[in-house]
Amino acid sequence: MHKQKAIADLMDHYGTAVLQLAYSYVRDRQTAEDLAQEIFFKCYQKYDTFQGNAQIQTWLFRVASNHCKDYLKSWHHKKVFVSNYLSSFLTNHQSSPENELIKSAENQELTEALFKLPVKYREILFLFYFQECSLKEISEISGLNLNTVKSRLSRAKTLLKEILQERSGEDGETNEGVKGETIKGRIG
Amino acid sequence: MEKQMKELKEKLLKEELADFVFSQQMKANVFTKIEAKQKQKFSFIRLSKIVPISLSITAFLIFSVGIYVLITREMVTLPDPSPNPGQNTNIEEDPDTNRPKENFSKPELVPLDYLPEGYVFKHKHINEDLYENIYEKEGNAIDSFSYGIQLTKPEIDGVLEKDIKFTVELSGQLFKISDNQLLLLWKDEGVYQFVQKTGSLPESEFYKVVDSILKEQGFTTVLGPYISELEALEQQQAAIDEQLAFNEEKAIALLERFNNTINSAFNDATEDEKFNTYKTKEEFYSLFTDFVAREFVESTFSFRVDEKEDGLYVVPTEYPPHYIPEFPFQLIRISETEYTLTQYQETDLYGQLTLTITFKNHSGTWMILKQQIDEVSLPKS
Repeated sequence: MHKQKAIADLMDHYGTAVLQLAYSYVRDRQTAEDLAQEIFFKCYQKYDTFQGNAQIQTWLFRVASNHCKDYLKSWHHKKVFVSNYLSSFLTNHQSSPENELIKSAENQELTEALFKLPVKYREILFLFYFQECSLKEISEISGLNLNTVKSRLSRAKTLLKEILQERSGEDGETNEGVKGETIKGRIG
Repeated sequence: MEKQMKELKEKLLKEELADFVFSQQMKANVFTKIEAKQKQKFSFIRLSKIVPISLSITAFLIFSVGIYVLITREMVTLPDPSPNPGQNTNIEEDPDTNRPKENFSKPELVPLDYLPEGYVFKHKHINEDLYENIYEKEGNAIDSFSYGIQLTKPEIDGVLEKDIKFTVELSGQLFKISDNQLLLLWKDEGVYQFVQKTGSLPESEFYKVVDSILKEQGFTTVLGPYISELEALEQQQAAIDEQLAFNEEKAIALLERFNNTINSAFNDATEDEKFNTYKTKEEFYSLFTDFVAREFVESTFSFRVDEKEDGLYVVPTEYPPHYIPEFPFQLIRISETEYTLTQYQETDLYGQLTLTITFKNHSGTWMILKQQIDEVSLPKS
């Protein structure tokens, strides 16, 4: 009963943080919800291994991070990835012109760039900027040494800049040419 | 960039992650799962007694049915005591003299009682006093041999290698014509006979042909031990060639073994991350060191497992990048004892990277020597 109470408290305090962390790996609400629930169930199973000397948040994020990475490696993910990718592609392209205008183009670019990063970089950025974990905490969560975390954070930012530059370079071309042709092709 | 990241966080929370919270329903789902697990655990304890008994009964039934089917379908065959019809077991020999049997009146091109596997009779070649039967490997005319007789001594454009004793009284001469051509010549009943081989026919097979001709002519030969000796040497050489040979199949087998060993090793750990079987890092490394270089094993796993006083623990972190069967690869020969396999991968976890795995032949055994990872600068859009 003590264990169930502890997990209930964890869900109350960190439920949404874990949900958002899971989303950062998969960028799909339904999958993130499933993953978050599985993560807390896993925490229940592993609760006896939690050592009081570690911070509960660090331990929880560590379980979450490993669970999400296991999911990304799994066959299930590989099978559903294509269909999800296609549906998200279609949704993006079917959205109305009004909606497109509402979106802030610059921020949208940054969001897309963030989700284009490989998971190993994205998770560091997300933990650092979104969950506001310290580098030391990230090191404990990911099981990587501190220097690796530092270099991954730096590399993640560089990659992000490169993607943004590349995308802004492509914009003129895309808007006037490539994208137009694709859409025409689809309609035709 | 710092400012942009802060803005991005706010934007995500307002848009993509808006109203995305851990709901009471989700919380309830977790508890439902926990309760189900507890019930399952209870029933498993009871099942754990029933399952072994059921398995034993099932195995016994399968075994009994299998035996019954084998017997009723007469699939059980007993060795046939009658001689193989293809074998010549009626050679009449004169053990006192080792001479040809009496009804052998004149030399002739006897039909071969022994034909090496894959070889077929191609044609008869007659030229003046030369009579020769040519045999070729099916679908490969380069590998051939012939058996011939000639009244006059043939002119041989080769080097006499050695004399070969066929029987107590009869010997032949072995000539090396070229690196892949041998000719064995002997004289009997006033005519010259020879067997010549070109190509890859093993020497042991070459002598088996000679041996079968002599036996067909009624001789009791002493070639048997020599043939056995040659076969043993050829097997040794084949084993050495096999050890040195490296190909895609061997490379993949090693990499799959590596991946499977990692999986089974980490599956040994319990839920509290403690290994059941392995107590020390050394024990863990020894799972790999007969096919992966020790240095590579250590650099890969030293920080992924943690040796404590009470045992060995998994350090939860990401797997190392590894060979993935779904992606194409290229195997390149660096030297006779070194190959590299290069694979470009694109995964969610690591993004784009090029993996270069080096294989080395160490004292006749191929091993994974090292792995290099080169990241591609930008993820593919």
